[in-house]
Amino acid sequence: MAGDFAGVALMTQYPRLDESTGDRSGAAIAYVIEQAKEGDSYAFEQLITSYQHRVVATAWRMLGNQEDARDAAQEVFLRVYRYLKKFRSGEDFSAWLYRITINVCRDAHRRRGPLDRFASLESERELGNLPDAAGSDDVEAAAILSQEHAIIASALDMLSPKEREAIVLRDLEGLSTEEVARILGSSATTVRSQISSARVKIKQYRDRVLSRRRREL
Amino acid sequence: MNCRGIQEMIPLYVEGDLETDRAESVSAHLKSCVACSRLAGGFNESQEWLHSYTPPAFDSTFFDGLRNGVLAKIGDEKARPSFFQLRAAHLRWDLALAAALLLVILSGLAFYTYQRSLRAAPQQFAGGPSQPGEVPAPQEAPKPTNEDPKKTPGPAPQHRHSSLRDAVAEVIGPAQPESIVGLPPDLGFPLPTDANIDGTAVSQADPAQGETQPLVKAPPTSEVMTRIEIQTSDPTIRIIWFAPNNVEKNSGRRSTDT
Repeated sequence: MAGDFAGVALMTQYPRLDESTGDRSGAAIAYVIEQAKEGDSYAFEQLITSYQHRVVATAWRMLGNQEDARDAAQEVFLRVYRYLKKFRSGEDFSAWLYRITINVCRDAHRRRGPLDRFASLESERELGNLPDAAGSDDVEAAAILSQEHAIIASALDMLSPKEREAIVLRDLEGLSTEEVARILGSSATTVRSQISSARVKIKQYRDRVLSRRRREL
Repeated sequence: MNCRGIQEMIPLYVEGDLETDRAESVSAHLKSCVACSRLAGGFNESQEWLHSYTPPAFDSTFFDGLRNGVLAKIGDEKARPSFFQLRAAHLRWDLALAAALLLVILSGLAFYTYQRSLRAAPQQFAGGPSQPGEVPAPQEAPKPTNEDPKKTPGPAPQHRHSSLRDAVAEVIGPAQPESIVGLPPDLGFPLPTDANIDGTAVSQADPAQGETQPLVKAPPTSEVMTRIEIQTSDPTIRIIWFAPNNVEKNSGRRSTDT
């Protein structure tokens, strides 16, 4: 009981790193990271709370479904816990976290293999990729959206791992080319080349899908 | 710039990844080229389609599950015993103790044997008698001569020198003034014609005449044995001859050492 009170008292000392309010100043993050490095579990929980949305979103974009994204996010935070002591103060924590996320997703993608491109509506709902909808119109809209997502996921899936990582970070996460290059450990020129190639392939894939739809109609 | 060059830049142009001057030249080209403009429009649509790939709104249950899962795994990792702890659980402590004891005894034996061999080695090296009554094979550094001190090799280590003297003295008795002795007839090499065998160093080897020009001298002798030393042209080789006084001179024992 006394431990619980001590924990609550300790938690109130931390600056709130609420991702929804955007309160993630460098000093506050650095303080929480230092506390977590010293083994403070509350500080580590704060880190999870602060970055879980971003990690899950990136993992979902890389892997294409909610189940894999959650597993990957868990693995990401486990690796953060294991290697946090090696993280040097003053480094960009966000970039470090992206790097771990990309590595975890790469491993998961390799283990899982290519996506099932013809996932049924039921399986999509089971995987949590469809929002809960009340009316039939919503269900239809959700089904259409899910279908589009499945096609985009397939388009991303046919890219090479490097191209997929570059396009997800640059076009979907909205990072700059230089930031992507730093995270992937390559040059900005290489990243530009990968992005250009990936955009061409995605457009060609979409064109093929659209032409097939037109033929079916 | 032609259409082909522009079309290669359009995938980067549509998201603003080109440098300013290149982006301006692409913009200028697109205003005048319908085909390239249509291609750029296609890329714009494709990028909009890609940007629609947004994750669903995950609820708080999802994130609670995620966070609790991570914390539970961390708890498992903390509670999981290390490799040595796992090994220690299955270890037979009595056997381990016996093995450690055996190792200590064997190490002690090996150390004792090594130390003993180290102590015995200098005596053998110095040529000391290993058996009572056995004639040693003494070794002595060449003595410098007055005629040519430059040809004298460097002195041997002092401890070996003294032990050699002790060893010889033990066999032939205390050193006597150097005396004249006869030369054994079977030296096996020619002696210099001017060999003076009156006791002291008689002839320095002449390097110009060959390798085995001996220097003959008669070092101290005792009443029991006569010692003859022959210094070869190689300063590191000296032939030492011990001959009993009561037998013929050519039946003495000879020992060589380098």
